[in-house]
This record gives sequence, structure tokens and C-alpha cells, in this order.
Amino acid sequence: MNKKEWQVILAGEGGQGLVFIGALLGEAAVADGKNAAQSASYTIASRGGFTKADVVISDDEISFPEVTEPDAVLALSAGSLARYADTIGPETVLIYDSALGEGPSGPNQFSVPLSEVVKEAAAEGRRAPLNLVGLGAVLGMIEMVNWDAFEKVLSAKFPAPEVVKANWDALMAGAELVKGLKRDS
Amino acid sequence: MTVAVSDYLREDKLPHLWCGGCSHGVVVGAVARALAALEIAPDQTVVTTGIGCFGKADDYIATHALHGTHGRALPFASGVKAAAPHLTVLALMGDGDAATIGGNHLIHAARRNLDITAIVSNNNNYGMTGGQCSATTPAGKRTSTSRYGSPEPDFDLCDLVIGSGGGFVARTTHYHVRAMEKLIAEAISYRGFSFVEVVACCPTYYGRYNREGDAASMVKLIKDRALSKDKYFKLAPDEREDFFPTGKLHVEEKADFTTRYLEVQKKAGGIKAESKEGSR
Amino acid sequence: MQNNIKFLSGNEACAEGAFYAGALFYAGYPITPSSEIAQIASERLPAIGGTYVQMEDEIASMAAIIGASCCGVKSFTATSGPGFSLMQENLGVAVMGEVPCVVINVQRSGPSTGLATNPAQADIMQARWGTHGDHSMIALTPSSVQECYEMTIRAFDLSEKYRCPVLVLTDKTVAQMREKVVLYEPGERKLAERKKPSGPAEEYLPYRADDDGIPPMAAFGDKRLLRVTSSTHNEQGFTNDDPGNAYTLIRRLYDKIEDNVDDIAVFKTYLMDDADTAFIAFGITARAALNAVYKLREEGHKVGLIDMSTMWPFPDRKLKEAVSGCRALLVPEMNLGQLVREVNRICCDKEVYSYTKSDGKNIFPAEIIKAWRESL
Repeated sequence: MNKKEWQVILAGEGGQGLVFIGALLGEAAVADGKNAAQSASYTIASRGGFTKADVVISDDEISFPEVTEPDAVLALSAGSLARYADTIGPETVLIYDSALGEGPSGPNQFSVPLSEVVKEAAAEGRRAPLNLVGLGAVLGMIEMVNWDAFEKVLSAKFPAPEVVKANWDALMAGAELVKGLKRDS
Repeated sequence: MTVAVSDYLREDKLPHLWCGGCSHGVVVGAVARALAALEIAPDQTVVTTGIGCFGKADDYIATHALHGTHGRALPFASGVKAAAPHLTVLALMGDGDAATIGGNHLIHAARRNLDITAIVSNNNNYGMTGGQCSATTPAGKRTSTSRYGSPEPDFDLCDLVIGSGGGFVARTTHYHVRAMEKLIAEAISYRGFSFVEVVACCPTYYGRYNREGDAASMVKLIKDRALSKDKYFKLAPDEREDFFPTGKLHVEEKADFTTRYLEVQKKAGGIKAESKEGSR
Repeated sequence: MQNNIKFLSGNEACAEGAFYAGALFYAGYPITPSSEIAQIASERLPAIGGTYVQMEDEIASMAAIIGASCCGVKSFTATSGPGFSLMQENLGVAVMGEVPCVVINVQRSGPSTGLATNPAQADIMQARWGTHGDHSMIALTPSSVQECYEMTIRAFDLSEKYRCPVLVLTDKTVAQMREKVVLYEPGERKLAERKKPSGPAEEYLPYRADDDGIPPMAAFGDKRLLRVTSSTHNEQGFTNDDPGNAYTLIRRLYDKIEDNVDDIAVFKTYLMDDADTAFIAFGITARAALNAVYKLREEGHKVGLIDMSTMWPFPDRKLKEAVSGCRALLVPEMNLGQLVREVNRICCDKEVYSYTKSDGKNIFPAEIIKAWRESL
């Protein structure tokens, strides 16, 4: 973690909670003593339509708050996968939900069974939100913020301990999915 | 407190600018007498006005005043009353202000039910700018912008306000001066949105365009068409065409905005409801 | 995280700034991308004894905050493009009637309904000239979430001090992005309050200005009767059509702002000491320009940035001074060239280049660098 600035794009559709995880990541970074900026792009539809959250995290001041050279892209929809698959550089980590079907498979491009975690949890009567599983996978790949900070921020955000736990578990499950995958940098 | 009607009038501004025979001065006099009868301190009263002949009404009333843009007397009044519920707030409007350019504000003010008294001196045309038609110019009547007779039907303002949720709705006329004063006083005392329409005359424009004669004959015409609410509704519908009902047309007690907003403040954990009134 | 360090959106920071400044009244009509401010006001104001009213349109919203402010209550509203157009009518009432109030306009892509969820910076001339008639206007343009907070507080200060409406012009990106913000502790920052009248109640003239050009303001409900009017008026607040009176009034309303441009208008400079080229930008574009400046500096180019924190009144003298050592100026902006007109007006001895973009997308640092390479 000696890099000074991280840039992440969290992309999918309206209603998937991308702005929520973007804000969570940014807030955790600030709680971790860093600077962070999170911006979003969305359409007029509350459900559906391309949506993305940009997060920039830095030890220094952030001059431009939008992502210009992403370190990682999370794609939770077919549309967002198609949008980024060919436009990002080879060093950018791309994590996409394997439920979206066949996708790119470069050295830094990973099809990860994010939806499987959601389904398994549901089968056991738990809730594992897809957005948090996705964010967990990104953080499992690139640990840009200390995990403790997420625990702190989630506890401050949700008064109910069971909600904090469900979100935390989802993050952890996402991180677990990418264990063993190596970033080619 | 001993008050005189003159405490509410800016007598140094008289004579007023309205034409001879115009109803507006009569309405201003009734407003002053109603405020005096209720002994509401001038410095606890705010009058808001818009544009047009009756938009000049605030010049003659010795209270706080907010004279603004055409049709907006009610939203100005709404801000005043919502921010300072202890003040008595009156919106004085012509038919252009209240019914035409400000029609949307009128229906929403009635629905929102802030404790404001709206008084409309309705002379069926725009007097200040040369007698153009308004939303209360009856179909077929001539004005400077309806030379062949207006092709548009007019609003019945009282029905409009009742339909929008107004809790106190009354109509009176230029002729019924005592009733006017009494109804305005009752409207001010009513807690919630109150509405008084004064059927007024504009001899200078509307009267001339429609050959209704001088002020005296116009007022007589109005008097002859005005029936008490009871008499009016006893007529068969096909006999009502030449008349209109007057008096308190609709009175209904309901919680006003301030009362409801105190509940909102309580739920939000704001300052105690009791301490709000008079706190500003 | 310390209690006063937050991760907020620009809209949230504007609302926090308003509450810190002491605002207790909001009237508005929701519109993307400003609606968060209305939502927060509706939730927070009743909790602090204040009032939120959702009006039927933006004409009524502007009227209602004027009415509330006349009661001595600090009042504000927020809107975007189409709503800002409707507010122009009663913005003029606040100018002519000298009623302090704050309007936050989150600029979105236009004209008309345009692209509701996309940013633009194309309302700056409307902000200056949108309401009819001769007048001046104060408009602040934050480029970060921290500035959204601080400039909203400052907007209230300026509106109270100069008895006028003050605009905060953000844009969709600045308004909805989240950044770290440090909030003031209660009492930490001094706040301006409007000048109250003194002397016998019956002698109070609502529009008699002091030597500073600003009349003390009574409130509705005070012993001193307050008359507020949007028509050309005398000191008593009655309509007056004497040409001398009209000119004196219009001149005073204009001068009370323009004569204090040095107090009102501030901007931020970055690496300007040895710069031979200055980027002049505001809002989100100033952030892109700053990034571009850092990148070009790494290559050894002497470029600097002026972030126009105040758009109006335009700081003619101070800006001219700030760029006096520069040969060239580049003005990137998300419109077809509005700020560059002002820069051209006062810096006609320099090479002035314009980079414009008006497609609902932000200007990125790489575009500014490209424009700089192509211009110079």
C-alpha cells in the first residue's frame, strides 16, 4: 500500500446500490485518515439505466474528484461490462459478476461468482447484498482502505447490529471470492 | 387597547388614486374597520399585495406591508405566515392577481390551509392597464382585449376555493358594506385559509365597455343580482342565471397548517410546540 | 472520524452551511439535481424549530422565502435550471425590496429541461442578468464540497450584510459528489446579522440608507412598521415616479454591491507566482484545471490556476492584477463561452483562449492539457 492514490469505478444499473457502496468506500477512507471523493453518473430512471460511482482515494489532496485512470472497475451489469471491457487499460483490475455470462479474460480481468454468494445467503435465510459482495471483491483484490474503517463506518451508519453484520459479512464474502487471484501489475 | 379605525389607515395618503365610483376604496375601508373591530394591533398585521389597481391597497393601510409581483400576494403571505404564525396576515388582490396569473397560488393556498385571509376585489377586468379581460370576465362580455365578447367562460372564485379545500369562503358586494366589514372580520378570526370575494365594479372600463352605466347603476345592478345564499339555493337551477349567492358560502373547521406543522416539529424533536407561538 | 469531519455531498454541505448560518426557513420545489437540499431541509428544519414549506412552483418558493425573511428569519431555497428561470421574477423583488435570502442553483445541462442528471456551468450569465432591469448580483461558485459548506455560510453573511439576495451556483457534479468536509463547531465562526434600526418607531423609514448605502431593516411584527416593495419607491417605501428618486435608488442598489467588490469577490490562486499561463475556471472545471496544472508543472511548464470562487460581482481589478505576469490565459468552462467574455473584457492585452464544452459531460484534465497544447 505505498501507492498514494487509488481510483475505482463501481458500475452497473440504477437500483443496485452503486452510489451507496461508493459513498461507503469514500467514507471509510476518510475514517482511515485519507482524503476521498465520490461522484456518480446516472440516468433519470431510479431503477435500471447505466449508473456508476467513481471513487478517488488519496493520502494527498484530491485535485480532480473523478476517475481518470482507474485502478479497478467493478461491473454488476451486462451494460457496464460491455462499456468498460474494451476501454480500460491492461493494468486496470476488472471484476465482474460471473452471472453476466462470458466476459473478457485478460490477466487483470476476473469473472467472479458474486451473485452466487447472494443466492447462497438467501438459501440460508440471510441477506448478502450484491453491491457489498462486489465491493468486498474489489477490496480483496486491492486493499486501499483498512478493513477496520469499514467496521467503524458501518456501525455508525446502521443502528441495528444485525444489519451491520450482514453488510460486513457480505464484504468479507466478496473478499473471500478473490482470495488466490493475483493482480498482474 | 383602544383603537380607532384611523389607526389602520394612512390618512396622509388620501385621497386614493382609484377612479370615482371604484369599489376598491370601499373594500380598504371595510378592512380597516374589521381590523379595528377585532383590535388586532397594526404592528402585528401584515398586508401583502400584488399588481393592479387593488395592488395599491397597501399604500392606504398602516400595517406592515409587502408589495410584490403580479399574482404573488399569496405566496408572499404564505412565507410570512409560515415563518411567523403569530402575525395576522392578509392578502389583498384583484381578480388578475388572485384568479388569473395567481390562480395556481390561490388553489394551493386554499389546500395548504395557512391561516391567511385572502380578500379579492373582483371587478371582472384589469383596470390599471386599460380594461383587459381576466379569468373572471364572464363569457360574452366586452373588454379591451375581448371586443367581440369574451370567448372564455369565467371562474366562480368561491366555488374554486371551496373545491380546493378553503375552510371559510364568503361572497359580498360593493353595495353590502356592513356585511362586507362583518364577513372580513369573521374571515380574519377564522383559523385557517379564509377567502372573501367582493363583487366590485369598474365603471371606467368594464362598465363603459359593457354599457352598464355609471358607478351608481353598476352598483345597483350588482345589488339586484346578489341574493342571500338561502334565497339563491331555493331557486330552481334554471332560475339562477341572473343571480349569484352571497354570505358565508362554506365554513368548515379544520386544522390549519401551523397546527399540523407543530405536529411535524414535535415528531422531528424540535422545540416544544407551546413555546413557538410568539417566539419570534 | 472526529465528529466535525464528515464525508458529505455538495448538496448536503450546502444544507449544513445554511443551518450553521442560522437559516430557519426553506420554501422550495424539488428538482434534480438539487432535491437533496429540500429533503434535508424538510427533515432538519422542524427539528430545530424551523419551517419547511413545499410550494406549488419556484415562483411561489422565491416569494415565500422573501416573505419569511421579512419576518427576520434567515431563509433559503434551492433549485436547478428550469426552476431558476422561474425564480428570476421574484429574485428581482428581493433585489428591489432589499430582502436578504439565499438561492442555491445546482446547474444542470440546458437549455430548458435539457439533461436533468447531467452537469453544466451555463447559468452564470443568467445569474448575473436573469432578472430584468439594472441591478447587480452576488453569486458564489464553490468548486469543492468544503466550499459548498463555507460559501453557503458566506452567502448568508453577504445577504444579511448587503440586504440582497445571494446566489450559490454549484453544478450537478459538485452538488452530488462526496468529499471530506470539516464542519465548524457551534460558535466557532462569527456570523453576520442584518442591521437593525434604532430611534423612534414612528420615524423609521424602511428605505433610508445609512452612509454605507444599506438601510437598516425592521421585521414584520416589530413596533417599527416595515414596508417592503418591489416597485420603484421613496425612503418611506411608497411608489414614486420622480426620475431623480428612481435614479438615486437604482444607483444605490447597484453601488452598494459594486462599490464593495473587493470585500465580496474573492478567488483562489494556485501556483500563480511564476506562471506565464493562467487557467481561469470555476466549479468542477476548476478542479480539472488544477489537476491539469499539476500535471503540466511536472513537465516543467509554468502554468497556474485562478479558481473564480466569486463569479459576481466580477473582480475586475483584482483579477487583472493576479494575471499581470501572464502572457496567456485559458478559460475552460462547461458552456459555449460565458466566463471568457468577462476575461476578454478585462484582460484584452493578453492572449485569451477559450475551451468550451456543452454536452452534459464534465471537462476532464486531459482535455484542458490538450487545449493548452493546441492554443500555445
